[in-house]
Amino acid sequence: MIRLEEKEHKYDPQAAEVRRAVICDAWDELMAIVEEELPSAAALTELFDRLGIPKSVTEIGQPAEILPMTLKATKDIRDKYVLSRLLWDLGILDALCENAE
Amino acid sequence: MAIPEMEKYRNYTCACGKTHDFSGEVISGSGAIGELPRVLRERGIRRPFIIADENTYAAAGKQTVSLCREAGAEPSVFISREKKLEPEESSVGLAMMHYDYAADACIGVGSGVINDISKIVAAVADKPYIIVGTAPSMDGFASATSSVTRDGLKISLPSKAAEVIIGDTDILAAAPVRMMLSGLGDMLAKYVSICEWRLANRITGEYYCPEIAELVRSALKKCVDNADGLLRRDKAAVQAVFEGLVLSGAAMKYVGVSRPASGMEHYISHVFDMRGVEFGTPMDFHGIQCAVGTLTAVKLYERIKKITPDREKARAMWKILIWLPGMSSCVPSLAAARRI
Ligand SMILES: [Zn+2]
Ligand SMILES: [Zn+2]
Repeated sequence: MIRLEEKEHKYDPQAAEVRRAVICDAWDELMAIVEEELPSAAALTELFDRLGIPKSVTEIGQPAEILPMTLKATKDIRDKYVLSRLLWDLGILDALCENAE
Repeated sequence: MAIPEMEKYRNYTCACGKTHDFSGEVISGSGAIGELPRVLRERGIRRPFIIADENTYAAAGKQTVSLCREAGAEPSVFISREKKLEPEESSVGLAMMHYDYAADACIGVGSGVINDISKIVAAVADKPYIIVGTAPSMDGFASATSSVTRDGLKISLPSKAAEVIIGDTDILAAAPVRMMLSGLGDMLAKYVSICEWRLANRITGEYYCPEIAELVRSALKKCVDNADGLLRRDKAAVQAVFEGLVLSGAAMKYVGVSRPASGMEHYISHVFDMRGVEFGTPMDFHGIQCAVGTLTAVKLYERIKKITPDREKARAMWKILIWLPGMSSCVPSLAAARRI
């Protein structure tokens, strides 16, 4: 964990501050990337329904209450900067994960 | 029968600054397995060690054996009798203990688990590895690592990249539909992976290759455009998924990082795997778990699109959170998730 942190600076206030500056300044640009790359949840849900792909954790045998903790855990699982890291930098990871679905 | 998009990336010097290379031969399409005798002859393989389980042996193992003989080779065969084969110590060990020391190559006949096990055997034996795919279920065909449980931990173990990857759509299309959907799920994951690769590039300055991202994007599009065909075992749909999966594996090799093929959605699946290993909670096919992870991540992204971040508030919140035990910070949330 400590070795990872030396590489990621996840908890380093200065590094986090630099990332926050980029995130806030380039927010529109970041959201444009999201818009470009991701299908809508509605379209994806429709595809899953059509093909019979499970949509929720309960459909694959996981208890529903595991989801918030699972999402939070993704921040520490490996070294990549993923959505949970972005939310962590913004101080909203816990709040958003609590009522995720 | 090769994947045309991949031919360009043989020792290719890219504008991103890296050289993208994948040396494996990919043979895909109807009747692809018929190329096996040529593959063996070209490489002078006389005694391949074949690894399969009962299902994959019936699906393609028998045929593999007779094609080996057609090439003048005499294979030795290990068929796992395990009802639910898991990629862990005992299954890898068992395959090892059946290994034929006279073998000059290793052929895996299967998909996820068999492929992971066979790659380790080939790596330890230091012999060329060939995979005959039986289901388009995950993107590990082109990768040089095996996803296995070791010492109670799910790890990505360096093993062996296949020299030849065979995806015969006549065989693949006969796979259980849920396995095909798993492969599709592993492809849908790429929406999130590519998105996060770009975001990370913008936020942290991490390396990003637009060309490889586009390669994966178009493979994903082909899968989605054909997706409905999977339910009726349409060959074009099955081929799109298989080739997309191989290409995704190759894409990770091209750029030397897993970014093109895995993001938050894979981490979500990983948490389920870790809980499964530790507590025996249910584990589904890798790609099915990734599909759930993808939809969950997409929903989260939709929620953040609606917010405007406030730097001061974010800083203040962050400072509180980092010291709050039980929140996602101090007490590593990973350990907490395992305890639930
Ligand atoms: Zn490149
Ligand atoms: Zn995957």
